[in-house]
Amino acid sequence: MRSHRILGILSVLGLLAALAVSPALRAQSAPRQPDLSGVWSRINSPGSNSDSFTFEEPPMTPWAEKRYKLVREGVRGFEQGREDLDQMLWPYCMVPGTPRAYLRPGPIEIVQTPKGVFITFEGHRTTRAIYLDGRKHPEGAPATFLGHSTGRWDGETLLAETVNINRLTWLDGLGHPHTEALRIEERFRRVSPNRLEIDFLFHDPGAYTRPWGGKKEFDLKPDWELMEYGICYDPSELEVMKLWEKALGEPW
Amino acid sequence: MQTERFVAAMAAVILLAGTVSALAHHNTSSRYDEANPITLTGTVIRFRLINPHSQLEFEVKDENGNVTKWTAEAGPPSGMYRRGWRVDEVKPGDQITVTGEPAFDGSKTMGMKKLVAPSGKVLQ
Repeated sequence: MRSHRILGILSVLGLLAALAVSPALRAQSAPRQPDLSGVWSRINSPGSNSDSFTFEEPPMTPWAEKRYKLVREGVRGFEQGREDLDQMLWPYCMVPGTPRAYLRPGPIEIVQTPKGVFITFEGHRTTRAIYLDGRKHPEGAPATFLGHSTGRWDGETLLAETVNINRLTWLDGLGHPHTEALRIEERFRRVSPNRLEIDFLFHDPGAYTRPWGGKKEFDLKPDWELMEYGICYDPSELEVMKLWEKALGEPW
Repeated sequence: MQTERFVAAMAAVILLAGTVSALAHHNTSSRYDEANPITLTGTVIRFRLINPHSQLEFEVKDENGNVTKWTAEAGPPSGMYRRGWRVDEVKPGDQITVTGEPAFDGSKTMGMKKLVAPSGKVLQ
């Protein structure tokens, strides 16, 4: 009996020692990062603002206030900003960029790999990359609609940082402006098998006197495929199609 | 005089073209009277599941035989498809019943809320 007990203790000690020295065994026993992959549909619950990230107005600098006041002229309540000043709408049809893409119609599809998390938006069919390979934001790169994003895991939360977003985008559908110095923090958490939460925080001292943001929630849609949504997609309204018909002498 | 008339006509054409495009890409909640929906029965001219707003064009005949063309606007095709709509849901010539929110500006347009197809299928 006593010898069995000693044998048992030695076995446990041996296993612990093996775990301590074996990277493979350590990896197998380490907590797994969640997989964010899937098609996710945003939940527009009564408590959430479907055209922004919060119902509260963030405190703005005079620069931002002047621009925001302009896009809210003639607009009621929480309706979207002035259509004639929205470069995302007809006839300009620019992509919404980030983070506004999260507020557009349609689900998102996340594909997670060791190199990065890739998010495709059905709205305007745009894809952004959050690189997880330790790279830095490039110096001297031109600003873009989606900016440049890097991320890392903090336990079961994916932390992402996005910079270098051009000024051809609104932060949200209401028309909140931003400078090119905008820095966005996102925290992705798969809080349950079918629920994804993303917390947003916008840092832009040139436009806002403190960081602001909010949370968006998504439901998993395992049977959905991404389709397409966009603004300038109706061929009957496009000048180029009229040119086609004129050149062809028949319906294009 | 002829030049003035021509310029006025061209201005009207340009203005109308801009209006048609604007109608197709507007914020629907500010254009349609959500509090007072109406229901019409008519004949399909054209139905398109199209971005950014699906469109149903149909004719309504009144008791005197006068025909009015209406346009009912619905959501993007992806959302419509997921709710069961298909590209061939209704065809030109089909008799349909449409419920929607009429435009505030008095034009013959509406935000479509419900469609009863010839098959009896109800789409919302």
